[in-house]
Amino acid sequence: MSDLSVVLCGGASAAASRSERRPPVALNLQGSNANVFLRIDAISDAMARNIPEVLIDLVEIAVYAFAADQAAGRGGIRDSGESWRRHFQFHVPVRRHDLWSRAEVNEALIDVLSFLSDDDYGFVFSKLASPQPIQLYLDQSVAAFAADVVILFSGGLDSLAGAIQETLIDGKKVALISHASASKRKPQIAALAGDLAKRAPANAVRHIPVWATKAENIGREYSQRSRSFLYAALAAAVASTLGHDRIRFYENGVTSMNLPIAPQVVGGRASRTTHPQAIQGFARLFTTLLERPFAVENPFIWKTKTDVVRLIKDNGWGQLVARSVSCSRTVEATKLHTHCGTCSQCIDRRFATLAAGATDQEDPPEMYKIDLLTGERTFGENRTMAESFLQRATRLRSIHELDFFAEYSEATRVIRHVGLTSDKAGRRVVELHRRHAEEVFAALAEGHKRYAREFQEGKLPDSCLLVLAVPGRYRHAADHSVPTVPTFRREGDFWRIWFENERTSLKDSVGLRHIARLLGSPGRQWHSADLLAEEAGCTERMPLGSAGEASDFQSIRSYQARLLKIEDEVAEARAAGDVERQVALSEEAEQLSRHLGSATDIRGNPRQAADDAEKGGQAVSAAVRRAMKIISRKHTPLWRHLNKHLKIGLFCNYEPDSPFTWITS
Amino acid sequence: MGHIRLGELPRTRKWEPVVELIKRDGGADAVAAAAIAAAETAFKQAAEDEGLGRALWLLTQLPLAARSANYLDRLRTIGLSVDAAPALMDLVGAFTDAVDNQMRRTGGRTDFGEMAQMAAAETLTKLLGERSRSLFGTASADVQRELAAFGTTNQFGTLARDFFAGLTRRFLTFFLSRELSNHVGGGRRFASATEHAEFNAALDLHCRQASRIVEEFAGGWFSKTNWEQGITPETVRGFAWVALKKLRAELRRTGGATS
Repeated sequence: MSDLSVVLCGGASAAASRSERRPPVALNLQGSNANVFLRIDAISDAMARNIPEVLIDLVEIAVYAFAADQAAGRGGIRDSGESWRRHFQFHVPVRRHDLWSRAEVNEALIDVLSFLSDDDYGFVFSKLASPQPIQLYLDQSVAAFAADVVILFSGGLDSLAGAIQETLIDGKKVALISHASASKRKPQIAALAGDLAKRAPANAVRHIPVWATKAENIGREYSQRSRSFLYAALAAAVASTLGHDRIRFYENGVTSMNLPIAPQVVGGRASRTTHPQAIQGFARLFTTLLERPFAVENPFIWKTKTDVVRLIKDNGWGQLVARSVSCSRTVEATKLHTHCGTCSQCIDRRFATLAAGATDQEDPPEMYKIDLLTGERTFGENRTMAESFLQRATRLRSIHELDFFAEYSEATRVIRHVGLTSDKAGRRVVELHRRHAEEVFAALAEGHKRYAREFQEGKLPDSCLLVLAVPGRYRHAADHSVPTVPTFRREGDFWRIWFENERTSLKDSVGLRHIARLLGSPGRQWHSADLLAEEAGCTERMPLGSAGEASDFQSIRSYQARLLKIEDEVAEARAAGDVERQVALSEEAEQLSRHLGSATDIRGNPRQAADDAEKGGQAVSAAVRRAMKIISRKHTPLWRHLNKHLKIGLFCNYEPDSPFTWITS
Repeated sequence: MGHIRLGELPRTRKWEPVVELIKRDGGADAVAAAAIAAAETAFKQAAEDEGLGRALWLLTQLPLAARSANYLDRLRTIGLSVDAAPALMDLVGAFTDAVDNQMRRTGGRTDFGEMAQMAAAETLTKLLGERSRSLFGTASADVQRELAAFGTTNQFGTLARDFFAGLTRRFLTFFLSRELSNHVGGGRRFASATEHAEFNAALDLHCRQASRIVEEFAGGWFSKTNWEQGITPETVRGFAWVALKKLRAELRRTGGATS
């Protein structure tokens, strides 16, 4: 558990306690020091009058919780996990202090937030001194409208299918609430909502985009597990403007339950955005706050993603599939590749569209940067994600119900939160997951048919899903396309690397050229100057020597004397009102001070300038360090090997444990 | 899928032998021994974990509740919210919610605590389900009878062994699953996902065999402590400390570790 994070919201203050090691984080939605921002478009002033004060409080709390969620890091991917869970203590001024200070409200708030984000929460509420109206957050230029249902609209396949079901199939008027976590997503979501509106009767679709952002300097944790709380709070507020006590998430059941794909996925590492327990938690909190029943529903809880795609296709709206975006790696998205093809959302989506028989026009393969079935899965997260997905589907396909709940014990968190008897819920959860697994294998079977020729000719990458899905005993034939000796060879502007059955290409750099020289001569002790000489194309090392003192003693004394004189001259110039002279003298003084700082040690004596050898060692180390950083991202086994066996400094060498031959030319 | 956060093994010297063993066809026993050595600090500290303490304490209390005249009241007293006739899935769901509620109130949830909670739910589901011959449609009285059967020295030993086996597997694979997928594919240790799954099954079997070391000790501890002083969260913590120490030593012994 990481240290306590105290979050002071809306100008709240709190006495420091001993358990705090971090300075408090101040978050403000209003005023000159505002650093979190909220804007709700397409809600009119007249409609906003219906929003109860307690829901304005709720929205503000949700925005603060979302900002704090991004402000406190959860540790890196190579951590053992100690930093994953955070401990937040919020101090929030509210309009309805009487309600928020109730124990049942506090409990409902903490229950849902801690379930969603896997963190510990504490809240201290105070009375808001000068409450601002919600109009502060609204674009008030729009006209009022009516809707039959409020839907959370992420722009992905599931919420698209939900909107199609409600408006194009059932003929209802819908309000689509969206919140884009990245600016790239905003136009995509707006365009998709526009596509729906064009196909629906006039005024049947109203898109309500919400912008909740924070200042850049607050922090940057990307997991954003509390996002659906913000999303639900905003939807509840919008629903109240329309006179509704109900909001709807649309998410297929397998995604909602999000059972771990691998044992490393513990707790909230598998997001719980629309988990039945979270959905029930939202409803409990909103009901407690409003003091009347408020429903939060997920009508797709017993559907798989393939069911969702079929719903869209079978009703004639297949062309909209390509317009939806499911990928979580928004940063990597381009106009051509809107999906990375490697994150869990992309893998799940593509399996679903293939299993549902979506055509290449409906879900174009080129939209995915890495093809689901035939794309190479590089070492690290990409391969682990794909292989784990496959493993889980293999296991679920024919799993006995007893083994299901034993191995996926997380499913026991579902059965009491779906409104069925536990036995019925248990049966349906197992059946849903078995069906999902069958759909994955149906897509794989189609893939094996489609790529039969490439498969037979051995043209598919070793690490692609079609190959990984075939048990090893059916393919013991040697792979002739790969080298058998470790290779670190330059071809044009790139280095082609093959090591431990893993290949990669790296753009040429000085550091890589140094590494290649070292790999090509295992055991040889290289002076850094020799490496630099080779790099410069010289046949012998350049003569080395000390550069001597950076400045001699006499010069230093004269610089110091000049500095004193400048002070007098500045005083004279000031008295004469000669601004130009003052500026020139200040610049001269600054230059002299800088030079003296680098030329003298702490006692004011002349410092030795770095000699050639030292500089050479530094240059080689810096170049190799830069190259190693790139290797660590592209080829982990090689990084591990080099990190262990490569010594860099004034003298450099490559000393493997056992004789090791590299092809370097 | 929703969003999933994956990790990689820490890039420290401690984990290098584990990666080497996986790469060089090391058996499940050897890989388990190397992994437990690499994660030794975390495993040693685990006995103090609040989540482990709560889950294990509840496991000790369930057979005792089932043996009492006021079964349902006892369940509710220890934090399980159940209706008048809880079936097996009701009981397991209530168990999970009880640990969740407690951890939310006290704070301090950890990965190890979460693994312990899930291992306990796994044990209850599997052992009660196997003995009741079905997971669904089991009458409340049958569930109570089977649960009460775990209140003897031998049977509690079985329950505890299963729990520690599941916990050990979850702990080891929490780390190993960050690496194993990298060794799947042509020319690698595991030719396909099938061979990877076979390795996981071998690891599970090894954990079950290694956890035999706690079976007899656990049964004896349960009967003695319950008779003499009553089982409390504090006594459970001491029991967990010894059990984990025994398991650690057994995993290292059977995996051929020398220190």
